[in-house]
Amino acid sequence: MTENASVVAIAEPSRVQVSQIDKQLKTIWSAQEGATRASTFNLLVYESELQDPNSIGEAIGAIAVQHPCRAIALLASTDGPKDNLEAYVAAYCPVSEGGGRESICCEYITLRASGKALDELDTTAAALLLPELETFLWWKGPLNTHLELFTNLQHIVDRTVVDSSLFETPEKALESYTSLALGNEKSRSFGDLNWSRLTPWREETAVAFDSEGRAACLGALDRVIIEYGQSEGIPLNPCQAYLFLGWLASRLGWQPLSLHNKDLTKQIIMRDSTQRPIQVTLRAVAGEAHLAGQITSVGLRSEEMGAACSTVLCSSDSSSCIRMQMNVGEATLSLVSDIDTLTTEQLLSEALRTPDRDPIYEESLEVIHDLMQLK
Amino acid sequence: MTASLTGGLSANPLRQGLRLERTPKPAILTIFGASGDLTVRKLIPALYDLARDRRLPPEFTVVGYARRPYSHEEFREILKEGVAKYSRSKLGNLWESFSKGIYYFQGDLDNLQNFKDLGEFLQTLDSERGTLGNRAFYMATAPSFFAPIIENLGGAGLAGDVRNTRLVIEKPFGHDLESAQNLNKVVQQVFHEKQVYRIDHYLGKETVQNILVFRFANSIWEPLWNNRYVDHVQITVAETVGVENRGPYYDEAGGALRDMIQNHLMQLLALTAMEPPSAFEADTVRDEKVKVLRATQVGQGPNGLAAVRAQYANGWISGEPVPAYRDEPRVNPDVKTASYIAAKFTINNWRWNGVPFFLRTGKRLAKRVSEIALQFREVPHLLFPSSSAGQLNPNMLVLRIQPDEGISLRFEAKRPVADIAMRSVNMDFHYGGTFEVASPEAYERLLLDFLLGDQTLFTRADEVEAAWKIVTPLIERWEIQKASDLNYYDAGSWGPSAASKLMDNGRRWRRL
Repeated sequence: MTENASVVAIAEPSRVQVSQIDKQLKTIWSAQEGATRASTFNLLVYESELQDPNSIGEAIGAIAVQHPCRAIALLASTDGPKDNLEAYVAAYCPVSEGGGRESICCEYITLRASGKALDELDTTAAALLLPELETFLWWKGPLNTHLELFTNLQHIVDRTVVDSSLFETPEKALESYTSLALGNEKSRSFGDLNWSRLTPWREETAVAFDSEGRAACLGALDRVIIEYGQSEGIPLNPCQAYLFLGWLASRLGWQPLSLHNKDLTKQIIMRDSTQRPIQVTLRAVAGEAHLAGQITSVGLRSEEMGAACSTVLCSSDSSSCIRMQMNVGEATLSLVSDIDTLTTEQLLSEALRTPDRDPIYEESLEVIHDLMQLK
Repeated sequence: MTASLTGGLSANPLRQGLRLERTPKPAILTIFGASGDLTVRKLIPALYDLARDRRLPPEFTVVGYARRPYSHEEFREILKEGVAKYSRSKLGNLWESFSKGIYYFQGDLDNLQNFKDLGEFLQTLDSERGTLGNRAFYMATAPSFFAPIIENLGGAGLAGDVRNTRLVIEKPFGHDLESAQNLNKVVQQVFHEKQVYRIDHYLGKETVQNILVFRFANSIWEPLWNNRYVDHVQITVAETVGVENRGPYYDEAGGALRDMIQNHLMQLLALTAMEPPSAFEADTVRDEKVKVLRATQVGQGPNGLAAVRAQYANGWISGEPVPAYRDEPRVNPDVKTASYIAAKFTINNWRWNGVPFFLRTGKRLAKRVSEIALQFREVPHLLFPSSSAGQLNPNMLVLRIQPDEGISLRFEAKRPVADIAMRSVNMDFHYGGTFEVASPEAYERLLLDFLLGDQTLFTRADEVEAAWKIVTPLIERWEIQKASDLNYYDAGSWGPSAASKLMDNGRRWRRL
């Protein structure tokens, strides 16, 4: 993504009748010279108005810089008249770093609804989707898989993206989410921004075991410690730690055997395909608010005699760095990597890259699903 | 323990599903000529960016080899400044650990004992860095050193084999067909062709690679991509810069003919004209490029070869006066080196018979632009009133390489008036505006491919020789027979008027 990219509104949001949305968009585009109306997908964004009302516009603007799309914001109104629906339309063009306007622009529709109109918003949204394009739903906020709008939207979208760092009751929500994602029709997929946040951790862990000598260590690992941030006043959220463990376990063929909660620590026993036990600790550690719920260190070790396996990945000294230390035969190498703290828009962009199911993610969810059954 | 540079990553199950699948095995990259500009400006910044993107293993090690007496630390400091200035990413925490893997070795390029000592040093590093005996050598030196380096690598027992040792040779590869053949012989006495990577940074550019994707991943073009529909092809690589301080090098390198036409433009011609390969693999792609190059020759004009050469006179560019070629620093005022070449080429095969390929390149031209333009034939029968016929423009497909990478298609459309009035419309695709990820530098792509053992974007021995063979008649005419047909053009113009005479049958150079 171009770091300094931004968008310019070629038409500021204006309120229109729902039935007039298409006509209004045509009016906007016909007044533009040199602006090309292009779309690569439909993006539905759900947000409760309890959240910052400007945040959707900013996020969609940032997405528009990267992907021309028709974005439809679905806002749950909490203070408007009952059973009410309001619509707004706008259009944006990306602006390049040099200040010149790019020619490909996108359009943005806001539907603000309350009461029954909110529950039935999927039908209005469906009529506004551009045909023959994939449709993504970004469910921005706490997840309730039983909410009528959420359920209804599943019939018109190809991919649903959530953020498990925002789950209000993380383990309960994670359990119902894994059931939904794994039990879903093959034609639809799910994604999680919290999974995208793990990408640098997964890459760094993979790099640590690339060389032939180190790859052999994977079979000897028997101790895993994953630490994640906890901050006063912010509910404990171990979802990211679970996702990392689910990924590691699924890649290495580990199965969960038991799960015990003790204060801020979860002790998990897993076993590998040879029935060898692996001891896993998920531990919350006090830290700054912006690291709440985020992994701060991963330790991978082996108690086996002579195994050159001791890998520590940490970000405890800085939120933007991962330090990897590992033994390679007689040599000990350490590598400090810069990790960009990805913005929500960058994470979303990653999640919108494809509507296809991610088998690695789903296999990770399967482990988490099995783990949740052990509580 | 010796491990091959390629393969084996599938053994790491943690790699599955990650986009970073292409990571080479641990290796030591030795750069000959490491105190030069290329290392500081291009190679190390590209390697740093690759490391930052986790494309290099933690064991990856660089050894700079040159004559100057640097300590490891002094060398690292020089490179650090280069990374800070030229890298895509900012100098960050990674530099500390990345630079620990950089070493300096002082030695002469023509001293065998120095190479033997280098071999011992590399062995020591193997145990310290875990690089398992894997070696890569990069010749970033003047071409005159290529042969001695290769011979010394062989003499010191450092040539290894296809599993653990690779060699990169920077351009120019030879200065004519005979010297290229001689250099190939030297290379092949020491290395297997599978170990050799002749680099042309042009092929690392995203948009050059996109020519292959555009042609072979879209079925709509293939039926049109032949002499039935294409009238002619124009390939332009225009620069606004002059030779500046590089005059002596540019003269020695042979000016626009050898520096640009023989390699960059011939590569663009080959990618445009080649037949579809059966697979996207190094040798199948290169086989097709060689075939089309072997079928290519300089076209004939009324007075012999259809080619024009010229040198820039003084002029104005972007509102600034610029000197003539002969007035540039360190340039001999009597020199006849051509800074501009335009030529017609023909490809004698079923697909392209009768379709001229017009190539032009020059320094100090009006605009910096590189593109391939395919002009399509006119419609066989014009339906519309003759008043419109005069305005009818042929369809044009343009693959833009720089600076505004993309593709545009020109077609005719009816203007919204009562009469049939037509207007040409350009439909544009902008590479940068559509894909959000900044393109990696060409050297990043090529260094990674080289470390991974992917030769697709590197030039094979027979391909280099075929390209030299094409331009040999021009070398003979201008440099051996010393033909006195050097033209001049004003800096800031589009080249000499003589170039327009190459265009026959009402064709004309595109106004860019």
